[in-house]
Amino acid sequence: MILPKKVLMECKKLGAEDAVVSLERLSTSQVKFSNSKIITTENNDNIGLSIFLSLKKRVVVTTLRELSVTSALKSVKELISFAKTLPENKDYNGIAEGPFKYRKKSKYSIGIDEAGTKGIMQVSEAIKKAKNLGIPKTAGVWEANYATSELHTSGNVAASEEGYSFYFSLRAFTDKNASGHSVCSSTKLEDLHVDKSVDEASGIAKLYTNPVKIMPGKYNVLFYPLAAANLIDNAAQSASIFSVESGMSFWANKLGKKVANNNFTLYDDATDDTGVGSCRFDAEGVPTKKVEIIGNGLLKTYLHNTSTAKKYGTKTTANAGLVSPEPRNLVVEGGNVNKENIISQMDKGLVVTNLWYTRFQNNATGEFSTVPRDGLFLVKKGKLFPVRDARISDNLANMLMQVEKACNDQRWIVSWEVSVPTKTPSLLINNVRVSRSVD
Amino acid sequence: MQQLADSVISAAKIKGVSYTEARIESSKSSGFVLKNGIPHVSGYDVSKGLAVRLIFNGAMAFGSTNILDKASVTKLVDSVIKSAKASAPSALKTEFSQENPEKASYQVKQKIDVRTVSPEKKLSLLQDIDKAILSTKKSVPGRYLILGDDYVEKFFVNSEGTRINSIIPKTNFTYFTTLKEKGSLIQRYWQYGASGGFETLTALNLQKVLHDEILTLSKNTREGVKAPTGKIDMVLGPQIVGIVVHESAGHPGEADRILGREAAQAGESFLSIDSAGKKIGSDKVTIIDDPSIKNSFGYYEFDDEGVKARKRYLYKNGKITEFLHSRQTAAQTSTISNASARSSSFDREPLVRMANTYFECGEYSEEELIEGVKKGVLMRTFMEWNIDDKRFNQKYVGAEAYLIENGKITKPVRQPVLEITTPKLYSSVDAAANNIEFHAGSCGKGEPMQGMPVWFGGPSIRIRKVRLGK
Repeated sequence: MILPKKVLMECKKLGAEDAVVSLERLSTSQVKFSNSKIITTENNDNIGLSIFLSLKKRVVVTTLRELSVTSALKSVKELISFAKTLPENKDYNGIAEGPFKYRKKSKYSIGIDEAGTKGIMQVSEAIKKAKNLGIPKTAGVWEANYATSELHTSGNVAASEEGYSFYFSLRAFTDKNASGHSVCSSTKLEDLHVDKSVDEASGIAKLYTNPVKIMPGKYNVLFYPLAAANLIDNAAQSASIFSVESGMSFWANKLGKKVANNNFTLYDDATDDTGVGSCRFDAEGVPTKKVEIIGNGLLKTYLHNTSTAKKYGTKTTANAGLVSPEPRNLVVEGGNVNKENIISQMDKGLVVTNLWYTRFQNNATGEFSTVPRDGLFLVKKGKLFPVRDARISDNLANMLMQVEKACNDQRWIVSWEVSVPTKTPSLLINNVRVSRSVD
Repeated sequence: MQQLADSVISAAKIKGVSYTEARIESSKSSGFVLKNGIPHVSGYDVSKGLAVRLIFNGAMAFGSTNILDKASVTKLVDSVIKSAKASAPSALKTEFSQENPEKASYQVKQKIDVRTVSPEKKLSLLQDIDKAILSTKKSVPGRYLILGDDYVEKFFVNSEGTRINSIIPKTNFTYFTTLKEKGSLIQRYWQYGASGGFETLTALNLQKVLHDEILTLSKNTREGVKAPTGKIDMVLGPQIVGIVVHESAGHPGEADRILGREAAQAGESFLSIDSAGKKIGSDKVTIIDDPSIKNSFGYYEFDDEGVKARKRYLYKNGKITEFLHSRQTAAQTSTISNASARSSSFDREPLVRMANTYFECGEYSEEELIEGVKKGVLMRTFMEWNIDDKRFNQKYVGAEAYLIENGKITKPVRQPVLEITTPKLYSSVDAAANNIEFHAGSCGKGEPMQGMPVWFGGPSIRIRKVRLGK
């Protein structure tokens, strides 16, 4: 495609010091189901051209989803005029200088329409399997995405990439108040283990019968991967230097300090090609790498792009987004203990299988609350008893200091509530505060 | 572009499709971010695309593209039909409620066209707000201000003869502030939005709003006392009432949630279709959702299924009266649509959504509500909130709040926590004031996510004998 190159040349010709031009196309095929029936399918094919440029430290961006060479070149002119009217961003320090060498990715190919047809079959089979397992009602989504991107920058970057992502989510109901939820995701269709998700969601739903009201108090809580990923996704936003500068991080001024228990290690690893957030380069073309955010409880780095790294006298972590640094593939290091062993040895505790509506009272301190959804179990002497109406009202920064154990069931989670792909095991966290609504 | 949409309807008809709709949307939006006084980034987006939704052999299918040449559009229609065919054996038999075909064209008027206001002027509004915050002389280390506008032109056509053209410009402002006071950090996030021109932003006097809020939160932190324990009365201000009605009247009243369509995403509802007519609260509780409020953030005259919008009474005098319906949910429950199907952009399917949800005004002033409280708390604004996915258990943590003693506000209260069930909350309402306000939000639903502009609001209300949490 010659469009990004032409647009880049136009940016330079009109005086932009830095320019990043990216052409991206996303084709998706989706199957939605509820009440054990497919309710709709979706086929989308959309293309967008993003332009980032700086003119005397004035930073402007645009995304054009109405594309032609003429309209794109006209937009560059508009963007330059737009930039001229703005005050300068004193914090802006430029983009990465290439060229760079990128790692090779294994080839994979499937037509998106063909994938969609397989998706319809997989969903039909999943519904059938759940029924055979005694689940009268299922709901969820199956999705295939094929994305291509071509990046050209004034920093001598010319790179391209393509990749697939597949995602399946199933919520199983045995009645209105008894449900279990499971998700899976992959970068190859054959690695999407729909069957396992049906088994897991159905198993939780069948266990979750006749829940009773929970007693508020402090509990040691075992968060299954779906629930743990919700906590990690929210916590990891604190790692972006953008969050730190905006007052949205509870890890501000904590670099090199203890922010989690010694057994807790968190990476952002866009080089792990099994995660659907994997990519070979970031938004300014820097080759991605495995970034240790928290190592054995210590905050090792914030996530940076070239500009923010220069400001703080460090190196980019290759986490540039078009506007600010962001995580792509979060990975929590797994442990060697079985979650079943943890439950069997638990005298009193809670098992949380899913979380919902996580909101902060204060992002800078970590006070927050979140609502357990689907199977929620009180553990008494190693046995599970369904409970309901709980809310976790605690401090996420403090909770990470209380991570007692990471299990050996590490897996990728993407869900309605978890936007950054997160590979996490179940996590046992001690002394978590649980509240309940007043009737 | 209308010809392209018409060609979709014709092509689908030839292929035996029983119902087809096409929607073409073009938009231009601009956005400005000021972070701690520094213009972080500014920009604009331009978009034009086509959505197609159809019913074939009883199966519903949706598709979109912004590659608008004839070949790409033909390919899209073919792939949508193919998906419908393939899914039909496992699909819900989709039917739509019978609605009158509509032909209309409408547009929101602007006094100051958002497209003609210079980027410089838009950014300078943010800078003025930032200066107003700093003029409080308080320590506000986090000042994250966002201003945006968009101008959306839409054409909707369906195979039943409905043709709707609309132009809706919108403006919005969001802030996130961190105040440092007595060694504590206090945060606050809020949003304003409207349909109309740039005048809708300047009319808000945002400089004063944020200046006053910083001073109020500072005082609250310095002088705030612990919230009282035991059973107390509360007066909830319009911002709290707004979020309450959105979360625990609007969402549970969405018929697609009630019918389980969103079960794996936004969740279900504690209500069922036969809840209509049953009691949910005291007779002081009337909650309305109305897309037709002029200049509102959730304004529209026809929804994204081409159905004429009207006012909906969700709860009336304490009884559940009406649910929000699309044509599909209406048909499933043997009623007609009340025009609640909305889509956030051309590449998203229409879903049942709120528009502008509010608690109906009462006859008292807020002062009169306070006068009737012997011991209680007035909660005006909040920071943290959430609710379970059936919309039954909810929590609101107060930001600006006051102790009420013997009918008078006596001192600020620090972060009172109201954690309460929906029936308990609405049953406890004994009076509503007449000081209605509307506030803006982006409501999330669907997969992929669709952020939808809405208003929510109401007057101050009084609730009796509730217990605050920790």
